[in-house]
Amino acid sequence: MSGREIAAWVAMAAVVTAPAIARADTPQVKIDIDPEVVQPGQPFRVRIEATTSDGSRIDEVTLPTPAGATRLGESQGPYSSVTLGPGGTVRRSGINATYTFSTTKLGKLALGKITIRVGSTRYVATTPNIRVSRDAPTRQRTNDPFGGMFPNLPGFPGFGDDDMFGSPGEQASVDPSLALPKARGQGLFFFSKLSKTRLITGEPVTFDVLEYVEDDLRDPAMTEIHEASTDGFLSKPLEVRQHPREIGLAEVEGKRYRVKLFRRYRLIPLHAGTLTIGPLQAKVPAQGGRVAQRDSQSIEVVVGDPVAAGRPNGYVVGTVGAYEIGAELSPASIGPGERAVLTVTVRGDGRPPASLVLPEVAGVSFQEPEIRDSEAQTSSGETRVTRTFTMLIDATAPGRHDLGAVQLPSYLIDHGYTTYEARIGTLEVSGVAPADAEAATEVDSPLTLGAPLTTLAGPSAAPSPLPRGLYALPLLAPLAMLIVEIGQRLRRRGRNDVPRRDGELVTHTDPWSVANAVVQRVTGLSTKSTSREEWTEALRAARTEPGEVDEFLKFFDDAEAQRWGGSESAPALQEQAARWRKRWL
Amino acid sequence: MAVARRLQGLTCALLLLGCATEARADLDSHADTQQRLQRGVDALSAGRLDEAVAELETLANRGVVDAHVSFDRGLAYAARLGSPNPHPGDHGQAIAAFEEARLLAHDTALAERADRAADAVRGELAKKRHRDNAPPAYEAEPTLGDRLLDAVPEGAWLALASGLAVLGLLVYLRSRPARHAPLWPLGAGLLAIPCLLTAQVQRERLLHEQPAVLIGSNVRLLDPETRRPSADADPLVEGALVWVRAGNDALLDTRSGDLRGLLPRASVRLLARGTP
Repeated sequence: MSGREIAAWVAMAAVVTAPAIARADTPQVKIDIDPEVVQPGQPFRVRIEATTSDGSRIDEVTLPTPAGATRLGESQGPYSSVTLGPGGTVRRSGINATYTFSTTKLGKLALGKITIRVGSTRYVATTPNIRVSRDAPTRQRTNDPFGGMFPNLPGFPGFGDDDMFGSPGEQASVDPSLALPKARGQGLFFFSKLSKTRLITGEPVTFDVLEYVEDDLRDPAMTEIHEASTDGFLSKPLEVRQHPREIGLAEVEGKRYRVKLFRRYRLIPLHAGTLTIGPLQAKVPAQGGRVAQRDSQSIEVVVGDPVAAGRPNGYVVGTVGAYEIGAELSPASIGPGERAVLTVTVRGDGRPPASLVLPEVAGVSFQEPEIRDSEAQTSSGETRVTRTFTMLIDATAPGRHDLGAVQLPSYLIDHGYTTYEARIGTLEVSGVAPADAEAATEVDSPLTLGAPLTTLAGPSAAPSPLPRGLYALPLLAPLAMLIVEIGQRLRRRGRNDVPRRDGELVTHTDPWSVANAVVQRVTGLSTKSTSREEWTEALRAARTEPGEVDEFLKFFDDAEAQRWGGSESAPALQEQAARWRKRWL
Repeated sequence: MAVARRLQGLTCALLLLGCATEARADLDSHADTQQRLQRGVDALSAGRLDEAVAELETLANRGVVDAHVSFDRGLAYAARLGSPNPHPGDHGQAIAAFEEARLLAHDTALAERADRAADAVRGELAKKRHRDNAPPAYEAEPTLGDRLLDAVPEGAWLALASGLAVLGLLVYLRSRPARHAPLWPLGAGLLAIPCLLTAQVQRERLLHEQPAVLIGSNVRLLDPETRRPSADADPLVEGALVWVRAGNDALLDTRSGDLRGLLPRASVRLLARGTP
């Protein structure tokens, strides 16, 4: 009887022994234990599938740690299935929980009871015992117990999953080089790995992000993957797969992990200094339907320039590594007005050089090269870049010109500087006009620019921009104008200033002034320059309420009388003035 | 109390030791730089021009920003131009060194000397191009905006904007009681706005543009989209002063007069403007 068949029997037994939950409208439980007979210390796994068919939501599935056993891991996730049968389609949904235990106690081990909570109702299912024996068979880890009959089928747990039947850590060997002192998260985590952390500018290095997944967990579906930042590096992805390949098993804090090569980059530092490779971040599903974030660690890299001593002329910082260089001149002889083409090919495993050192030959000039790159995989799987410099050669002097060699100074780690050379060959030039030939043979005379300066001038301060706050200065004037304007308006309102027709503001504090201002405001006429009949008529035309104008005219007369020493009491007139100001001004 | 006093004393001693160590390191660095400069000058005087260039370039690579070092480097490149073994790009390198010396110079005498030297090398380059029947090259003229911005610094523009605004305010306040105040204070205030914007442009240039000199010959500005030179674009002349805005390892976003485009990093030498 195979392990799978026994597990199925156990599941059936579990259902039978849990009559309370075997009804159609109650949760259905399947229990799968693998292996059912274990050696002391050997991990075993209990997989519980609790589902309902009526849409009830299963909130929780719990299995306590059995007495005498140690819990090594636990994972839970949603589960759903659709079954097509004669009675129609049956949809089931619920929770799929997996527990991993180990025990050293020989004999039978009772796993205890499983509790399933659906809302406020709790259901209990019993589990079978497992047997712990020194005679328990050991199994080879296999990727496909059905001999390749079922390849990996995503979405159907258990079929073809290599973690379904490969019991953790039996015969599969653990790679000590993948071991870590501490896990960076539960279930799954990332670990950044750099082959060297002290580099020379331009020195290529391999950067890996490893994915550690607990051996008894299925591969989680990751979302929101943010790649590691590599500022200051030239970065080239070497391995970015949708399904990362597994590179071995590791043991971290007593647990076994499958280790996958999640990312592999080739990095080339572009300048000296301390550079930081940022963390890779991803969201992974966690218990209870939540989402957890996993970050790899940042790595600091110290980058230095190659030593200055012995640096050849024309060396460009960043040119590091071994190169092959070749040059081809075509054609080898040119006529008047013709140009030759020089093609220089540089191939290497380092950063392609930005420039070459060209020979200086009288009567011949090299034009700015056109640069093209191509990549090729070597037999060992590495990528090699070939950079081709193509440049035109102009000749201004006839004759046979030995063009010498094109040079590429480079820095070899642990060996120092070296200069690669490629001979260009000889260029035959015929038929250049004699006048041009004469001019071409001229040489530059040394410039007379004075003697060199033998002392240091001292530091010069770089021009720095003015503080941003000074830009507020020109804005203060309009602000002040605004404040003045608002102040004037407030003051005017407090004093009941009335603008005259000529635009000047007057302040009315006495009844006579108020009376005149009212006439002017309502009629637009001045009492001084127009007759009483005129402005009275205008007032009646403007204000048609019965008796109102007459009442005002009485106030006007009283105010005029008081002005000339009349008997009208001042407080009463003041009160009237305030009333008219309020009504008509 | 006694323990506290001892701790204070120990802290002071450690601080003094730290300061002394730092000062010592500065002195060593200064002495080393001076020594290397002297070696470069000696090599230049003895006609060992490759060695002189290497020594002075090493100082630049180590981050030494000094007007005299830049000037001497220009002299070394210029001297190699007249030697039997000039290197490609020596004209541009010499001009770049002299331009850098001009920017870093503390005194006007050195700045003028560096300016004249750069002009002399440009003259030599023009003669050589004529002798070699070199194809026409584009020499960018500074734009009117560049000239204006170079002539008047950011602070002056800001002061002018502030002055105009304050003048407008004063006139406004004096004419405030009258209803019909004159309009020209408002005009003065409006005039402050372009001054303020010009100061802002000056500030942006200071923050985001770095002067550089072209050291390659027959280099064309590349189109930022296609990364290829346009068919009708003339090459830029070696030694041309350009402004670099941003870039990566291979290409630099560059402005040359009215023209914008990308230039290969290897064909451009960035100029130091001083230590921050």
